[in-house]
Order: sequence, then structure tokens, then C-alpha cells
Amino acid sequence: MKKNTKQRVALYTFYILFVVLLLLGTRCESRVHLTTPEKDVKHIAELAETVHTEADLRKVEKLASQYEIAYRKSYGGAKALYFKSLYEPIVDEAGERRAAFRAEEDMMRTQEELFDSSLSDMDKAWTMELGSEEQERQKIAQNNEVIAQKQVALLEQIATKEQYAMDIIDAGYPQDMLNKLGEMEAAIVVAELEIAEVEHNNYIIALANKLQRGLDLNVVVEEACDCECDCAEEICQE
Amino acid sequence: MKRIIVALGAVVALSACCNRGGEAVVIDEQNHLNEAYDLSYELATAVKEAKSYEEFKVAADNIKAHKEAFREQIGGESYQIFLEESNLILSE
Repeated sequence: MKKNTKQRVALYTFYILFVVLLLLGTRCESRVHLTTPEKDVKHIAELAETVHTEADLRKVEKLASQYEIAYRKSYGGAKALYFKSLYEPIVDEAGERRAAFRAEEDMMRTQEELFDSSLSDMDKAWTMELGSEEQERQKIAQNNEVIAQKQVALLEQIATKEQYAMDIIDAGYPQDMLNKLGEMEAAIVVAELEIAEVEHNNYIIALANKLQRGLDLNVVVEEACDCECDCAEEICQE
Repeated sequence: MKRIIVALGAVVALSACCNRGGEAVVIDEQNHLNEAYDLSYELATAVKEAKSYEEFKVAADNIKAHKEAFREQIGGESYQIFLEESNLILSE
């Protein structure tokens, strides 16, 4: 019995020590060593100069915030505000640098996607089975008809949506109407994607004929577009 | 045991050979900017002017390998130029 009590005491002591150590560890991790605001802000500036990724930026912001909290706790609000006024321009500048990197990365990604899609389109065009020249022209003409029909429907959808948006303003922006407007906008995006898909099919057919037979069917695409799209002239011209 | 070791050796040798094949494209680090312009024009034109699917596949694999080489070995401005110049010709 005595032995059991001793064991329990030892176990509880161990638990308590563990929790205390855990708490101390968390405190140590987040603690920053304060010197003067000018010197501490230099530390942040050094780190800010290395910002390249979103994670780097978060690291700088976190460090700045830790320093600010430490200043607030140790010296009060005035010094913390002074420190904030010193580090804020540095963090803003790092944010701008990160935004520039992001724009560069986005542009690079767009170029990579274009590169891959160009090669993929050509691969599809080279491996596409072709019918007679007449059949190929018919395929393109049929697709153009589908495009024209879808464009007319799309214009109607857009007009209905715009009218509905006006109705929402008159009704004082009720939530159910706003939800329906969102659905209408989503349907318009889907319709636009469907049109783009058929246009892309036509592009592949024309490319296949060009690569495999040296035939240029693009003239037919344009002619068909001009005849069929008198209602959707704006989209056609685009 | 011996058999397992021999089999493992064969796998290692094979993968080493495959890796060597993948590293065949080496970009000149002293002249990478010019290479980006020259190679993109040359390789993209070869893709566009292929007369058969087989020729296209060879040219496409070649330009892809060079794109990866620019990305991995050089990066930055030269990789961007290689992509942009290639895209200008490929999407003509």
C-alpha cells in the first residue's frame, strides 16, 4: 500500500514537471530578447531583406508582432507604438517585394501552361483521325452553328442576369435574390466555358488538317462565324 | 541472398543509366541568355515544321527536355525567355 502511494506521488510529480516544462518551453520559444527599438528593428529589416516566399513574409510579420507584444508587456503602449512605427514600413516593403515575386511566378506559370497546352494541342492534332476534306469542313461548320446558338443563349442569360441585378437593388438586396444572382453568374461562366470548348475543338480540327494535310480551314471558321453570328456580333468580333 | 543483391545491383545500374539519359541536356552557364534565344527558336521551329507525327514527337521531347534543363540548371530570366520565345513560335 505504501509502495503504491509512493508510486502515485512520483507519477503526479512527473506529470506536473512535464506540464511546467512544456509551458516553459512554449514561453521560451516565443520570447524575444529586447534591446532598443532601433536595434531590434534592424533585426527585422535583415530578415525582411530575405523575403521571397509567402512563408518568409509570415515569418517577418510574426517576429515583428512578437517584438511588439514584448515591448507592450515590458515598457507599455507608447514604446510599443514607437516600435510599430519603425517596423511597419519595413514589413510593408517586404510585402510589396513578395507581391512582385508572386506576379512573376504567376506570369511564369501562365507561360508554362501555354507551352504545355501548345504541345498537347499539336499532339492531339497529329493523332486525330481525319475524314475527307468535305467532312472536315462540315465538322467545323456544325461546330460553328453550335457556337452561334450557345452565344445567343449566353447573351440572353447575360441580359436576364443584368435585369435581375437591377431588381435586387430595387428590392433592397434580399439574401435569397443575391444567392440566385450568384447561381446565374455561375451558369454564365459554365456557358462561356462550353463555348470555349467547342471553339477549341474547332481549333484542333483546323490544326489537324493543317499539320496532316497542309490544308488551311481557318477561312471557313471565319466565314461561318460571320454568317451565323449576327445576333452575337460582339462576341464574334472578339 | 546473392540473387537479391544481384537484382538490386541491376536495378541501381538501370536507374543510374536512366538518370544519365535525363541529364543529357546541359545548358552553357556562361552563355545561357543567348542559348535561351537561339535554342527556343531552333527547337520550336523544329516542332512546328515537323512533317510527320514521329518527327513531331522527337522535336517535342527535345524542346521539353531543354525546357526542363533551363528550369533546373539556370532558372530566372533565361528560363522565362526560353518559354516566351518558344511560345511565340508554338502558338503562332
